[in-house]
Amino acid sequence: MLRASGLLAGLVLGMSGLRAQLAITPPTSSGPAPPRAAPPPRPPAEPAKPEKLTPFAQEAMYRDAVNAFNAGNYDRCAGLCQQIISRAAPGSEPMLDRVHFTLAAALLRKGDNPAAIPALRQYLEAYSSQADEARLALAQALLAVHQTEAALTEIRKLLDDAPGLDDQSATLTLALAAADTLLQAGQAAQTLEFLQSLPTGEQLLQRQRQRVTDLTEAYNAPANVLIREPLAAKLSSAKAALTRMQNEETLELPRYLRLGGVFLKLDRPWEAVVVYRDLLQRFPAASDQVFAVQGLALAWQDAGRAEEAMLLCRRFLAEFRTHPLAPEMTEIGGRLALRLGRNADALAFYTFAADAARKKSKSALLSRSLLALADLKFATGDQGGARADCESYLRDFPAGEEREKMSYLAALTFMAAHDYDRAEPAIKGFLGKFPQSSQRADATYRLAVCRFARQENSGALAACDQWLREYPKDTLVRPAVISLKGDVLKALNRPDDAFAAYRLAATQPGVSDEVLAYALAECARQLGQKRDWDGLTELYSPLLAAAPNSPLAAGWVTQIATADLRAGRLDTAWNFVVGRLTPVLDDPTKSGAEEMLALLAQIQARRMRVLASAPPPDTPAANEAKQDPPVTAAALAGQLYADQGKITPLARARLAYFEAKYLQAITRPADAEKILAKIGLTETPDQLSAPLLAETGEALLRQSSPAAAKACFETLLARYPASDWRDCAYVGLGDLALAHDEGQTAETNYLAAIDRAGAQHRLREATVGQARAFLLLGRLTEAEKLFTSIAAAREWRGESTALSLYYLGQIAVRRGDLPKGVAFFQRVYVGQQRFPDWAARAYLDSGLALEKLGQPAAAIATYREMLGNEHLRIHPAASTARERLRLLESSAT
Amino acid sequence: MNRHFLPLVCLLLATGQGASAQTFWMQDGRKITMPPAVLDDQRIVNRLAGESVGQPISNIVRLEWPDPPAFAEAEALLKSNRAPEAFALIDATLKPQQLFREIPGSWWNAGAALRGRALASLGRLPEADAIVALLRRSKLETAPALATRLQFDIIDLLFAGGHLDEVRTRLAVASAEARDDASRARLNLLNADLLRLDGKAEEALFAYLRVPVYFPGEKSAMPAALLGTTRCYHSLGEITRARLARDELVRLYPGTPEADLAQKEFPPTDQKNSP
Repeated sequence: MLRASGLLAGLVLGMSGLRAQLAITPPTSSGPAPPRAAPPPRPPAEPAKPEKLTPFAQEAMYRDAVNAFNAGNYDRCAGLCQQIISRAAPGSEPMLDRVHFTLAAALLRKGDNPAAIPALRQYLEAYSSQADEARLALAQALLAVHQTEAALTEIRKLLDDAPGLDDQSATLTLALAAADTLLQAGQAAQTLEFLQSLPTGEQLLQRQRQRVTDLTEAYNAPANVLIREPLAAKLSSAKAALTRMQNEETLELPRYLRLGGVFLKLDRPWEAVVVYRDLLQRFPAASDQVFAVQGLALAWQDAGRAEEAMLLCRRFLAEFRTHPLAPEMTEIGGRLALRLGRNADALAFYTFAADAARKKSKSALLSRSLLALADLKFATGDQGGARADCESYLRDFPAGEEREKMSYLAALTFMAAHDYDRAEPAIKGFLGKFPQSSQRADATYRLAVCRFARQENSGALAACDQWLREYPKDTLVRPAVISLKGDVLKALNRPDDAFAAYRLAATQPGVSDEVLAYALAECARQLGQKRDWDGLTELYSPLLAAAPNSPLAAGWVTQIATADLRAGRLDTAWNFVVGRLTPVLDDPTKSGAEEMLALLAQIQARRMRVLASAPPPDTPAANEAKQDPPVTAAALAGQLYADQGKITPLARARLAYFEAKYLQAITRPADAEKILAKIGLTETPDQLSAPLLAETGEALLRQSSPAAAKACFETLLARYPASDWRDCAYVGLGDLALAHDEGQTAETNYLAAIDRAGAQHRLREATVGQARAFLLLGRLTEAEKLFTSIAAAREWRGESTALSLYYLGQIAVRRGDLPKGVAFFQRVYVGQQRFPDWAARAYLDSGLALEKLGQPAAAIATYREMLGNEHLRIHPAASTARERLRLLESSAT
Repeated sequence: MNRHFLPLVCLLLATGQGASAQTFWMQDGRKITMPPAVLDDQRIVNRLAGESVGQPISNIVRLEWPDPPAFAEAEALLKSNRAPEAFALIDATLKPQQLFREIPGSWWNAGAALRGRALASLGRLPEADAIVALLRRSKLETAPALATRLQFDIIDLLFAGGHLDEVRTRLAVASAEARDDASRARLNLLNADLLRLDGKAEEALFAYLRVPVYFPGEKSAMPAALLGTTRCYHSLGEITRARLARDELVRLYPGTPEADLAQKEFPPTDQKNSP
């Protein structure tokens, strides 16, 4: 609601000031203009008619009224003015101009808008000397008493022409207030029309300049010598207004901010985007820019452009962190980030929103933020954080609507962290607290999972069967329960029953992609073990036919083609994949594309081997038929694209990936590495898919381009927060930290690779990295435990074994157990000669340990053995060994 | 005496039948109203009143003439692609009146702008540009706006002829001169058309939308703005908004070429193509 204060009060005070000064001297010919219409009707006669005032008494009483006004006694001023009007002598009406005006001013000043309105109307009907100012005051009074339409009528008159206003922008200010009132009343279309009809800043400036010119002329006119002082005041005020208005921001920004808001209300977000974008461009340093940023974010959001909207929210947070709108904007940003899958951004937004909500006691915002944070952290693997948010919610909102959900989520965090010992009581506690919960079926299934995790297989099988009996109508959890039953049967060494369970799980209505992929993979594994390639094709073909656009479809294509490859049907396999490759090649979210390309590379490698072993063709036709299959990116592009100009950067990178994989398949890893690194250097990370980012990042790291590698890893985490390739990024970032001796950062990243990303691709690297980080941090016991596990893991035999044995030797040496250290080093250089780097290090460290043990002869023998190995004598460690050997030999002689 | 008395060759200041009286304000404060006056050398003469000497043109400070009907006729001819006839008509009307060019109230500049359009339509760009320059040099308040408008008319013709580089060059100049709403609206439309041709649908949309957002009073620019808006929304996949814009165009500006085009491009019955 508009209050009769501010502009109006100032305006009226200004007018009264002038009138008060004029009142000291009787009106002159240069004073107020004569009435333009008949004088106002006299008030109704009172029973005892008061005596008429003489001109002298009238003047004296008016002077009293002015004094009362200036002293802030508006009641007395109004009373005196009313007396003058009621007791004016016949014929003195023209002199009452100023009295009527002062009366209206006093009524306005005391906040009596209902009484001021007729007084101002009366003045406007009878007098014209200050008509524009009176009209402005009338419009504002009308607005204050919610007579919006009447106010708009007066404002429109002022907008058409109001040369008598010393501050032309006052009309605009009032018009904007009227627009606000209209908009609040839900009349958005009318508001838009009204706002668009307002004079432009340029026009208002022109009017203001004219006003200054008019007042200057009036001030200089000889006829106005007696009123020069008040004219000087008015001129000064007009000039000040002109100076203020010359700052374009003052005139244009408020109006256009409202215009943008109205377009938003009218569901015309694109128009709002136009307005706010222009505002930000025109007034980059405006104090009210905050509202333009907010408006633009909302407009982009309404236009369905979540990315742009989220970026604006981020800008808001960066530039206006302490603004009262910041919590609201960050919550919007959080929602948008979630929608876009930008978990890191969402986390930052909601964390800020929750903190702000706590500080400002905004409980609804806090509740929403905690919910979002808990969900988000749970989804991104931060189970401790998710649990803390759940507990915070349950503490802050003990009767909150989401109590059940947050209680269950808190219990599930233990499950997700594989802490089944704590998960089971937590879930049981939840079921005790919420026995009628809609999550009951899910919770019961989780309890069966806990039993299976504790290897209570019979109990788990019974729990699964009981679940299936208890919840026959539940289709949501059923596939997972059947799949779990398959796991249990497999653990009980009942492979055929397990296979049947997995197949059943895969065919359940409503089966989730996750369960489907898992159950099928188990089936495929069994079929692969039996070399039943036709069975594998039969397993996946119906699925592909039924759901060719499924996110899992690329994996199914790969499986079917792999079956053909294994069965020796190379052309069938090739054609099957190529025919399904083009639609996924441009889509960064289809990470199956890389799987398909890697398979194509394998097929081609096999074809090349077949061709190489075949007898030479003896006819041109045979020669043509046995042309080399495409093995380069360009050749494959030629087969896939009719118009190569249309190849996108992502498709280009993927085709290069194919070439790299082919080179790997024909054991040219160095060439493959160069191609992968080149992808990362020539394409911007934003254009690449998750697998490409992972593999190019790793190649770049190995090719000593740490900055480019880091960009790839960070982009992967930011753009693909749900990708199962994230473990590569975490491991890469861990390796980078380790290279800079940042043990703690390295450990956090390796841990994230396992806990958050599930380490589906780089479990070994993450574990090795974690052990090395422990070693760097001096946490020898933890490091020893992990290295021992790695060295013992049969499936990880290879360089990690050599590395682990070497580090176990180092740990022993650091603990002073030199013989144990030497034993580990010997295991490396005797059993792990395939890894010359580790063998060389082991020789050297073994020699040094033997020296410390006082066994120079054994040390000399070790160094000699090392230097006698042609692969090791060129290793950097060899120079130290050589030096030690020289010293030992010279001291011996 | 070197008199230039041409009573038989188009000396009426206002052409055509039934022309209204003309009013002249003289340097000495006199206001002279006369039926269509006759130009006699550097003087205006009221022959009907039997004058023979008349008033020197140099003494006229302001005049008030009705527009000659030839303007409307030329305008119509230009619209129906009959530029040669339009040019002949307007040229014949303007030539004898050049003496009044710089007198406030004269319609000469407006006529010159029309002549410029005709010249541009005939492909005589240097001559049309010369008129733009002439109007820019004029001391009369209304001339710069006429110059800008003519400049935009020329750019429109160049655009229609596919001379896009020339359009871009000229727009860069015209954008600095566009001060009134009409010019600014046209500037936005031309910019939008160029952006759309470049395949920048979103930026083009913003430029089209500036017309209804900032210049809602420019009704002549609105059909083109709405058609452009419809097309851009459609390109951006904003099908519902495209439909709303198309419907607004058809509803508010029926019969305009833009409304016809919108109905043709986005027929409501064609489910596939309809926005």
